[in-house]
Amino acid sequence: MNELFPPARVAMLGSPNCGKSALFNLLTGSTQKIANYAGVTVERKVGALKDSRGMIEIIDLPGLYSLNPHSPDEAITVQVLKGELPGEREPERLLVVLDASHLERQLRLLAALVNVPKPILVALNMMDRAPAQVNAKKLSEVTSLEVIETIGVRADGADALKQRLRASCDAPLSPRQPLAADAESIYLNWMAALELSPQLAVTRSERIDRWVLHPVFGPLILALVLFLTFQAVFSWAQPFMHVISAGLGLVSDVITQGLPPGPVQSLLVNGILAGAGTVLLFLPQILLLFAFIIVLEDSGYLPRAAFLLDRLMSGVGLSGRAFIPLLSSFACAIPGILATRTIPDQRDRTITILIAPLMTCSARLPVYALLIGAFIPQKELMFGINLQGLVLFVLYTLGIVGAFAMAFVFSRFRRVKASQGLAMELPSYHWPVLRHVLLGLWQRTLIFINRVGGTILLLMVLVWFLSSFPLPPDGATRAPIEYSFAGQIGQWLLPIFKPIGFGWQIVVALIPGIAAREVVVGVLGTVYALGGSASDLSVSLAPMIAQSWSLPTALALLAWYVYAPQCLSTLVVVRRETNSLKMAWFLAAYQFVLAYAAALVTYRLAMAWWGAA
Amino acid sequence: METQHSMRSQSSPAVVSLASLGIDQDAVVCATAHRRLSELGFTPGTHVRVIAKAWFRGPIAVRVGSDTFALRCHEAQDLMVAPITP
Repeated sequence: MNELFPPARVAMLGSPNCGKSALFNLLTGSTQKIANYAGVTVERKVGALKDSRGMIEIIDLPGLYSLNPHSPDEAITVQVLKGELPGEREPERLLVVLDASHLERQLRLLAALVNVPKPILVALNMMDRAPAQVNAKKLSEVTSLEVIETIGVRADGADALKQRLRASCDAPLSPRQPLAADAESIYLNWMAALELSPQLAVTRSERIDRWVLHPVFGPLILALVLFLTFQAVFSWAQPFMHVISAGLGLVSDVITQGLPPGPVQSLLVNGILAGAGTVLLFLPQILLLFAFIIVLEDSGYLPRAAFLLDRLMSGVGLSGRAFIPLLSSFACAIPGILATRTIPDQRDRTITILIAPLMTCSARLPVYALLIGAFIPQKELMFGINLQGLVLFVLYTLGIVGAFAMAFVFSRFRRVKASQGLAMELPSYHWPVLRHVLLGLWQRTLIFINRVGGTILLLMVLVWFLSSFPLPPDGATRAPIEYSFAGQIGQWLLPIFKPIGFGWQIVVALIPGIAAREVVVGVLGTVYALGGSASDLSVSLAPMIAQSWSLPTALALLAWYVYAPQCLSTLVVVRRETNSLKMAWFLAAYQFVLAYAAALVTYRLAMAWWGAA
Repeated sequence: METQHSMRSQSSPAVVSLASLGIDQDAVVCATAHRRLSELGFTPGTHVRVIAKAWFRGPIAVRVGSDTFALRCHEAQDLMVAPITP
């Protein structure tokens, strides 16, 4: 990039749900850079539109409803717009994105923006859904601005915009004269000229909402959607998991036959395959969960779910806006915590951050799946409900109940108990775009594979080393691993975890589990592979633990993992987002206490019910 | 807050709060108490329609212009509307 002649800089603006992100993706493709604005936790997205004539830098500003900011995101947009954000170059031109199917409110934002003395190009987006009387020509005549029609969900939907953007950036900058009128009267003039009817037409979305938001059918539909998600994660993923499992077994056999027994074979088979490989096994389940979340998000259902749950949320002192961050936390707490940035009230936001990690993240899924697979019989109850799926549903529910209980406790510490507003948009329903869902899943797969290949692999090699050395003394009677460092650490910490029924093998697995939860499964794989006889060297961990643990122990470990202290990356993000190390420590401490208590109660109850095993 | 005050002093019997509107009852906004709501399109003269109400004074789903918003009950109480008789 030439410092003397910086590229033209265009800021993209629009209200939330106007399809701005899809359009930004079309314009900038793979050139996007996502980071934070200096000093604040608002996402900064910059990309470039490249063609034969050079490049145009495009900055995608957070969505806003007006120029009077109500959240940190909106404040950043206004500051960048005015060139008042230190360290951020002021954009020369504005690209305002309007949703053609929701023009009335969006024109209000445009009316406020015409008084900003910068050239404006309007992208009239979602033209595939626009009412008959809305088109670029008419809007251009009424507003005296350049208007281009776009369709953000089509691959070629922004081609005309790209050409127009290039042409206007090549033209010399001529500051527009601000109109001598206030935004409201400009808006009213436009509305009159466009002849949009004030009557409320019954839209398709409204007809769907009659059912989805219905006091009786709405909650039923929500319960059904959530239940279907968890059933699908369990049953639909099975065939894919069998394929991966068979593949891992094959690789394991090849290595065992091809390499002489020794440390190298042990590292590859027991350390890497039994460890990292076992984690890989759960990729299909994680992807299915993400597929459901992406589809629910893209279709516009999520804000409806927030609507249905808002009464419950406000009852425990949470903002209704907390629902979407909490739902994202089912995938991973980190995007969930980042999503709390849309909560305007600082205390509401802190409480949401503190309880987000109690939502069962996808990294806990392998642990649940392993234990449920080993201990809960694959039994059909009634109406095609599977017992394993039901247990999974219960575990997720326990996480949610725990989170709401903690939110209730935390909100008691608030000095002001003022009720917060909601004012949340319920966007139109859309059919999810397959291309977008697949792109999201592909990104998830890459992140997961990188994790398995990076952090998890490294930890597994470390665990293998600690579990293999020092070698047992001559004439040792017990399994070699019991003499290793890992065995010693496990024995040393055992007194703390014995009351909740954990053996030393579990204790060994819990430690690296703090870095990444799914590692627990891998460590158990390695620990049991090294502890067993040579013929047991395989990736089939479930039957092995089913033999060596009692049911109360397995249930206690499940209960522990519902509330277990959050992984390190989450704690780091909490520290960054709350700007407080104390908050991160507090989170880890309260989760440890909660997990320990839950495991203790579960273990004691199970012991009393099924007797000592 | 001032608008809210002046509103109440001159309100005719036909003016009610949005929260008390029945489902499917169309109305016209008379006055808004909060700037945020007017920025979202709840300005005097705009048509609104309640399409759903949650249990126990939970949120209310309201059509306004081409949009739909979920408002908490107390937000809807501050918004005065005049029902339209069909």
